[in-house]
Formats: sequence, C-alpha cells, structure tokens
Amino acid sequence: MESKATASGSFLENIIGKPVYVKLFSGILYQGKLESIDGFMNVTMSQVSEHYEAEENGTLHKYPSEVFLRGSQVLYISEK
Amino acid sequence: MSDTPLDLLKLNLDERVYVKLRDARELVGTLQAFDSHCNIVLSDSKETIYELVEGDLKTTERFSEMIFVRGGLVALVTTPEDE
Amino acid sequence: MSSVSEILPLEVIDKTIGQEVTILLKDYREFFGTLVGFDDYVNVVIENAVEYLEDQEIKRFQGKMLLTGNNIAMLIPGGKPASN
Repeated sequence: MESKATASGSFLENIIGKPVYVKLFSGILYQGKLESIDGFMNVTMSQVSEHYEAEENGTLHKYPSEVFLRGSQVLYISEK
Repeated sequence: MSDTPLDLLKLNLDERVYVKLRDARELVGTLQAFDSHCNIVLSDSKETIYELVEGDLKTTERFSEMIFVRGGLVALVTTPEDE
Repeated sequence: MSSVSEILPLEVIDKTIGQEVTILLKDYREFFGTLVGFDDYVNVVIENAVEYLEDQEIKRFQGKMLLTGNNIAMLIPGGKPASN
C-alpha cells in the first residue's frame, strides 16, 4: 500500500470518522460524519443533513442511512 | 484509507436505492448493477423530474422496468426512507 | 531568445504555503484562508477558510479544508478579502 505524502492525502487520512462539511458544485452542503473516501474523492457519510449553501438557510433534508456522494461533484471537504 | 465508498453501493445491490442526479432529478429503484464510474442500472424505478414552469414548481414522474443511468450525472446515492 | 519564465507556477504556490491566499473558482465563488498545501492536481488544503459567494461572505470555517482543483481558476498569494 503506497503512502501519500501529499497535503491532500494526509488531510484525507486524518479526517475519516470526523464530522465534516462536503459541498457539491451545485451549492448543496452536506453535513455529517465522514465514513470513507477513495482516490476519486467519492465519499460516504452518515447522519447527514442537507442544506442550500449554508446551515443558516435551513435543513432541506436529513438522511437516516449512509449517503454516497460522487467525487466528481465535490467542491470541498472541510473539518467541522 | 478505509473501505471504499463504492462498497456502500455493493452492499445495496438488489436493494432499493435513492439516486439524486446533478440536475433536478431523483430516482428510486432496485440497484441491479453499478461500476466505478457510477453508471447505474435500476429496475422497477420511479424517476421524479422537477421543473420551474412559469414560476411554479412542477413535478413529473416516469416509471421504467429497467433504466441505465450514466455515472456522470450521479451526485448522491442512499437508501430511500419510505416505500 | 526563449522567453520562458525561470519561475514555475507551482513554485509560486509552494512559496505561498503558510501565507494567506485567495482562491477564485470558475463561478462567482471565492475562498480566503491560510495555504497548508497542494498536490499535482492543484487540489488545495487551506486552514480557517472563509467562503464568499458573489462577494458576500456565506461561511466561516475552523480547521482544514480540501478544495478540489477542478474548479480553481486563480490563486492569489497574500489574498484579498472581498471588499465591503
């Protein structure tokens, strides 16, 4: 297993299991616990709430099951 | 790195899934197949299309026995809440 | 005769590590924060980011953020917060 010495690689390794924000290009913001991530930046999250741009705009939806988000749509992944 | 996200899709094979597409569209169906591009095949699916028509939100539904969804359009996949 | 610059673009980004930076995306979105690192795809890690949409601040973050290189149009070392 190769180890990534890149800034992005270390960030992703350290963030698994933590509460994160993931925003997609559409502007939709997902908040939840990061369960897994792969090299394409596909992501799975649990306890997810969905908002438009920011939490202050209200909750669009809450997902009770684990959610898969497609890497090519990801704008950013941020620690909470 | 932990299990791949695509494992979540694998776990859902033969189960009902909810797929949100990049544009204002949602699908619910039984996951028959998928690949690393997120191309997806659903059976017994309902597609919901949201449109703005003269300022009003219009919802259209379409049913298919079998539908192929190109991975490029997929934004989110999860299990549906009620059915 | 060759007018190719001696300074490589990725070196400029490298020199900005530790400093504040403004990142402009392809749409009307901007991020301002401290540059922690980047990779070959110009995915960028910034700290304590501020997110702007159409020149309005919409969110402040604590900790680190990975911004995907896909949508990055410009990186401005030193940066400029959006004007009031």
